[in-house]
Amino acid sequence: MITTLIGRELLNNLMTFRFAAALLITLLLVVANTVVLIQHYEQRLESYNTSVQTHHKEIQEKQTYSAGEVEVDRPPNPLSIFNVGLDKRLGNEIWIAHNNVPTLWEARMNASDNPYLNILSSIDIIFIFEVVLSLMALLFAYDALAGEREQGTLRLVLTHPVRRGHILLAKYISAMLCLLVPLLMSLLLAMLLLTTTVSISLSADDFGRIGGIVLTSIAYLSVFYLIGLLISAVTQRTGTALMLAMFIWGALVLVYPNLILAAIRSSDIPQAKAVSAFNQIKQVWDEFDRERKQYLATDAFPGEDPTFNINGMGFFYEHFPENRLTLLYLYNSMMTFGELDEKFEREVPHAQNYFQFLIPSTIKTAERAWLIRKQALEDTLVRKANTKRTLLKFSPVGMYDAATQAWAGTDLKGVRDFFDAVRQYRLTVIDYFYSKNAFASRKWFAADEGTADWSTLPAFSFKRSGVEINAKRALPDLLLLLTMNLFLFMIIFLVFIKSEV
Amino acid sequence: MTIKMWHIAKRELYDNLNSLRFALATVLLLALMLTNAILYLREHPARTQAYHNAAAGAIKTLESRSTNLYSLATGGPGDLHKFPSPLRFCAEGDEAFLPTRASGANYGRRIANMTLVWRMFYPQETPNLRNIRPDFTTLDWAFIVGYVLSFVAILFTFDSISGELERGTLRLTLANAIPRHIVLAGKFLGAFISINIPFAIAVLMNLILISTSDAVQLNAEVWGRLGILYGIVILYTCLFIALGLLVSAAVRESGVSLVVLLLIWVSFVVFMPNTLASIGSRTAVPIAYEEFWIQRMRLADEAREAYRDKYGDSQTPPSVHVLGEYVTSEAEEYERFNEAYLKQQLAQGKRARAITRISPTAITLRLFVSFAGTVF
Repeated sequence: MITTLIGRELLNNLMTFRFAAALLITLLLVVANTVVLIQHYEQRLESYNTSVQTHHKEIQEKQTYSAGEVEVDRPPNPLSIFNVGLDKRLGNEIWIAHNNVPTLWEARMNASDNPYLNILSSIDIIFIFEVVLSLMALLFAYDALAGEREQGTLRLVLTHPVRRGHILLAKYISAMLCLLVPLLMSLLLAMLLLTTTVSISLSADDFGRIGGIVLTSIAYLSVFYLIGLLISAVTQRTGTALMLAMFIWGALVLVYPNLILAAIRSSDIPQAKAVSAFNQIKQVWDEFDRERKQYLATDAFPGEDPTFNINGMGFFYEHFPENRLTLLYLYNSMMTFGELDEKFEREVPHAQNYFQFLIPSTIKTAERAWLIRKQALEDTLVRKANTKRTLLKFSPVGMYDAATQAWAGTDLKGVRDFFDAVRQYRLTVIDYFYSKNAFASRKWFAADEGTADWSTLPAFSFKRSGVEINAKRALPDLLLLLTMNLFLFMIIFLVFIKSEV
Repeated sequence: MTIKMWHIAKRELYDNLNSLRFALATVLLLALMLTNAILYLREHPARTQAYHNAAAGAIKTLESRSTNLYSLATGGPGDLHKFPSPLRFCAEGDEAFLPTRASGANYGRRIANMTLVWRMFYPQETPNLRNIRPDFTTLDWAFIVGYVLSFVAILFTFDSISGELERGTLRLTLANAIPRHIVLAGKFLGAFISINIPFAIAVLMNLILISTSDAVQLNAEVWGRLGILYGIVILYTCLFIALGLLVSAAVRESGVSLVVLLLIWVSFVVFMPNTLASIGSRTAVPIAYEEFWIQRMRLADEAREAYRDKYGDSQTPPSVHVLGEYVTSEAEEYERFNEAYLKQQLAQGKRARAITRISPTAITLRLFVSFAGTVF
């Protein structure tokens, strides 16, 4: 019996204009946008490759260890084509030095980043589904029950010994099958474009992630279909059902996300928590500065001059750059000379001793400051952003967006994975310095007796986290969507069982 | 004839006023407009205060430099700040994206104990670089009109002809010896008024809230601009009403008419401005800022080399005349290069906007930004 019902519904749905239109527009939008997105990805990849090469060359040319600020690059995520998330927005190039534990807030952009070009939001495949397919799901659902009630066919069907639950199920299954056609076909075409592009190589894990995205998309579609079905079950006329469905769509997709984000837009004024953390960090560095000055005052070299009167072709600087918004405060100094005059030979051992004291002390202070900063950044910037994300999830759009970002690895956690790897790499670089005895060596600041050796510096490599990590991150939102599905279906069932035909 | 038209318009109006969509549209638009006003009143005083503080600081710097002409010529005028537009609630525009200042300063190198002339630095950082929050969105009039009002207009008109055709009332109307164009005009008028009632109410509430607060003073010029913006809104809604009537007349079923209209709406309003802009911006990509920086350094180095080849690197300048020539030519070269880069960047934005003009929404958004004065 239920197969007959499904067959009937399927035929009803497939032969409609809205099905053809939905299919056409989704295919058109997805294909057109995928082409653009792939092009953009290729550009970003190219700029990443150039940047990696430049940075490699730059570090090899550094004559002293002191001048060697290693720079690493964040590769573009190929799955950003599905959901761009934070992948394009956040910095993709970061310097690594002994004096600071790097975070994403210090990263810069290596590609052309034009501030005068303001494109409202970047389109990705998930955005198309978010808007178009949810609309289509509602258009398929609004007259499913109300329409049959108006035409009287519902009464006709119920004269047969059919369970009402079966009617609902048949309607649900057939409509979902119909909605899956545009979804899967457009995804297939997108995949075809992706896999035929030479520069994009998808791993087995990537296919797993895309599978997760498909699953989440189905759950999202189903939520909107069920919302439409609920509206159809509670209203008597199709006209009313349609209006309600459209306004609910507008409210959930168009208005709510914008409204909530604007309403809780936070100012750029640092909170009290951030201010106190910044002061703590500053104190840590002040203490370091006192020790440093004390060393200079008490060492064998007269006066407190940190350059020990050494001068020549090259440069010296020291300062404490700060950024109160991102709680950045550090001691930045560099002393590097290509050639040293004979007359400075007496001062060189003093400088060597000083750096042997100074650099390990800087590293230690940087670690201490990082402990405070890490917690404070979590408490202020990250928590604020996460609150916004949570509030967005009152609309299914927010859940869908969050879950697909997590699958694609373009969410905040995915991007932060990279910076975790960068922090790990910084320790490797420091170990390398220690293994070369760089801090105590003359090569730290002078290149006259041999230049710094970068040949065995371990290269940085970053691998995106495995698919199981993505799954773990996406699961809460996916489960939310599924729960919502179940909940909606139960309500519809109760309403429909009790309603008069 | 006009009386008949007015009859039809009135009938449409009564129909709409009693409908669910009218109530929903009113609630939606009111909620959006009120939030817009409240947010603006919360944020604008702080913005103005920040501007005044910054401007006062900049003036102090300028005063300290203007004791003699030399320090002014070398130090430059300092930071130049943009006054926050009082019409930011209409369109946030570029103001939300760009830093509000450009600085005229001198981080320059010296040559032969002589400081070079100051130069202009334009903001290069996108504030989004450090923003880990969800996508940046705006809730200004431009959004409410561009997206929500056009959506409402479609929902008001999709069944105005096809619906009557289905119910058979159109035949009845036409039996009364009313020319078809009058019916059409009447329907247009009816839809126009019924869409403008909720919108006008929402706008009025918004403006009452904003104009009665002490936080902002709106002067005559601003009201003039608001009037122009309302005119643009009217034109924009007329466009979508006409579109709705067109599809509604061309299609026999209202269900199909709605689907067609929604597809048009989705492609022209939601996708075209963004997709086309990102295609258009690809056609004129400026060089990366770092690359620009390297090139500029190389230019400066070359000029310096040329100078050294000619006069040697003595600490005492050869003569004021020679040095003056170098300083001017270097500054001119630098400025030319800087301007060229800025032009490149602006050209990319222009190119991206030019191609989106296919979409009326993009045109409207642009007009809003221009009249609100929130453009760079």
